[in-house]
Amino acid sequence: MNGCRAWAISILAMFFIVPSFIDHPASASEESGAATTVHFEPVKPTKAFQHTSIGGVLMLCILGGAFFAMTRYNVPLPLAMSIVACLFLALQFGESPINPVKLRPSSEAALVHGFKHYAPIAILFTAVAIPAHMIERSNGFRWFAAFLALRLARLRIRSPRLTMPVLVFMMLVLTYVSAALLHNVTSILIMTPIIIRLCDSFSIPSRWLLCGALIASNLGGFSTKWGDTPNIVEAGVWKLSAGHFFVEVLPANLIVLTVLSMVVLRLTQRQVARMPARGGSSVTVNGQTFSDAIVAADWRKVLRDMTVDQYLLVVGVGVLSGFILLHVLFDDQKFVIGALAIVLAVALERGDHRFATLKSLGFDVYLAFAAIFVLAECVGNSWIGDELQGLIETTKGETWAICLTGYLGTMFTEAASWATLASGKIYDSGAISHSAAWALGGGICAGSSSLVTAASAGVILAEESSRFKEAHAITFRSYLPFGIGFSLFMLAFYSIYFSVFRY
Amino acid sequence: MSIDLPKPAGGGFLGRHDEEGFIEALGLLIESGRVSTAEALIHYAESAGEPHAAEFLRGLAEEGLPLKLVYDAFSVHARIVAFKRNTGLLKECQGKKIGLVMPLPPHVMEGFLGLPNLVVITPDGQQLPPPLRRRQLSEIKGSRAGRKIISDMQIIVFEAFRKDSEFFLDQSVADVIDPRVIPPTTLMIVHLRPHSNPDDQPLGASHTISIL
Repeated sequence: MNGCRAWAISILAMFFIVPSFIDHPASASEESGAATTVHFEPVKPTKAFQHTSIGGVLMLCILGGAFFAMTRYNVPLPLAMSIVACLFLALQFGESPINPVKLRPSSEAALVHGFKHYAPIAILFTAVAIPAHMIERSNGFRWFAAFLALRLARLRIRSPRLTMPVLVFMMLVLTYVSAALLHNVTSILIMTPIIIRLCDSFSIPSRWLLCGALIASNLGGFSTKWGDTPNIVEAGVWKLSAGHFFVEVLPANLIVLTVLSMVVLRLTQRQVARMPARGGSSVTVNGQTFSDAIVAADWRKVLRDMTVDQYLLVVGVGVLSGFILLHVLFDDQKFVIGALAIVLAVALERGDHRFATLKSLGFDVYLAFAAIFVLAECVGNSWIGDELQGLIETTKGETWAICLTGYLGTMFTEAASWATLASGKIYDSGAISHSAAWALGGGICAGSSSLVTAASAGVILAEESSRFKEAHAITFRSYLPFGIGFSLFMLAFYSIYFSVFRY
Repeated sequence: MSIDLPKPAGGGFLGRHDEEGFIEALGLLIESGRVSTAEALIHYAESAGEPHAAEFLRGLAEEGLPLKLVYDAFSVHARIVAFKRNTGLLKECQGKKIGLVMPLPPHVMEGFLGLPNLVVITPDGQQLPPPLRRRQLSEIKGSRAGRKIISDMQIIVFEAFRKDSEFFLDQSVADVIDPRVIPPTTLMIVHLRPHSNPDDQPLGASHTISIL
């Protein structure tokens, strides 16, 4: 208790003492204000405490503390991120431009810019989540999972050793393809329940497969122009076509996907080998288990007993595919399409369920997203952001440097937000080749895969998996070792690959 | 065919498995080529803890019938036993107050829907299957209302997962079916679901339980 009080006093003291060390905001504001009315020149932000190395280190300590709390004490992600975002906001001293000619307190500017990036995500993800949850409620995903499970179970009777490799490769490839064709968040929303149900039925631990699915969704998203928000941003800056993604990025991502599948398979096999044998649950004759046949028969029964709400399924699939198709065809009008998709899905929902349907994504997800975007904006407007941008400028677009800044920037902020912040800077520094765009994309893809907080799909995975029993929940802590390990491999791979193959 | 049929144990031919699942499993083993002789089929039935089934299969095998015929004969016999048992259960339901607790598959419900004094109880979070939503049914919605009425029922039909000899109910079903308030004379009829649910609760009832 005393420790908590000491912390509280220290933090309060910091806010009283620190402002005395910074430039007087009023005078800066007056000067800038005068300049804007006469010459209409863009205003410059005042460099305050958060731009000093002490401020930057303090922010890193707060972020590290939150990561520690999520890892060690399983503090919920939305809670930790919200507290960090509020602390970072409170550390925003001085003034920053809210638009090219208007200076406002940095905290207000960070909030406005953070929510500017959050708003599109909120509407687009809601437009995906509502029909996806309608399909889930219709039993559509359960039916698909049971259909796959029956086939897998029959395969297991014939070739028991093939079950796990087939399950791992099939799920990761399906996640990759759906992320490439749809969007990585859509893919995670769809695949998470399917993976969990399949793993449950074959008594295979889902942890590594779910962790792998998050990376597969990031890889799929990075493979197409529309697959992930950073791609959309990069495509705009470097004028990249869908063909460029197909020819120049797809081969690299397929190599990473193959390695990922093998790593996930190995880890899952290791965990299965460590699991205690279930006494009496399997009947073995001539080396074959009767329980495998019972599992297959059970799945056939599941398919026979299951009633799919066809109306809900048709509405869900129709709205989801309509939204995705129109979104790809008319990218400029994506918010109109998203808004109409939400209205249509809610209107076609059964009367007593409309409000619940509108809240499909859940308050926790909105809270986590809002916090992460504000946090990202604060990091961008700090010593950390200055250092990362400085690295890009001093290396003049070296592939490894772009990759590394993409990785670190995404890790400390968020994929979409860092892509927005870094793309223009990199392009303006003279790195106009496609390789620079791919290096940034690769770094962001690796960074997105490092922590569950680093990308939207990670936040969605944490939320969706927590709906099932505890053994399936992917938390910050359970993902951390896998994410850091594999993302470092991705970082090294993309740095080398895009240095060797120049576009 | 001069085979002495084994007497069903506890109202059923199989002790550990439900007929459909057991027949399907044996069929899949034959289909996949894992079982190629009648002896292997008997061995599986014995190892699976189904002595009645093994005995019946042995009788057929001793007559020199080929595997496919042995399986078909067993399959038909087990289905007939199951049909007789289910018909007996339905007859027992005549004229009694019956409560069907959701969720139940439509094909299970169909058998009961023609009976008088039938009440469909829909606990919180559950719904009628879409094909039955437009039917004129006496429906009690909500867990609280369901709990109030459940003690009046003479027969209760619900879905459960069976592990060894214990039954597990979905949380929403367990909210309604509380063995403490259900009279001991009430007959419980269970439709077995193949997989457990994350929030399953043990039934813990000393009532008579029949498997549908």
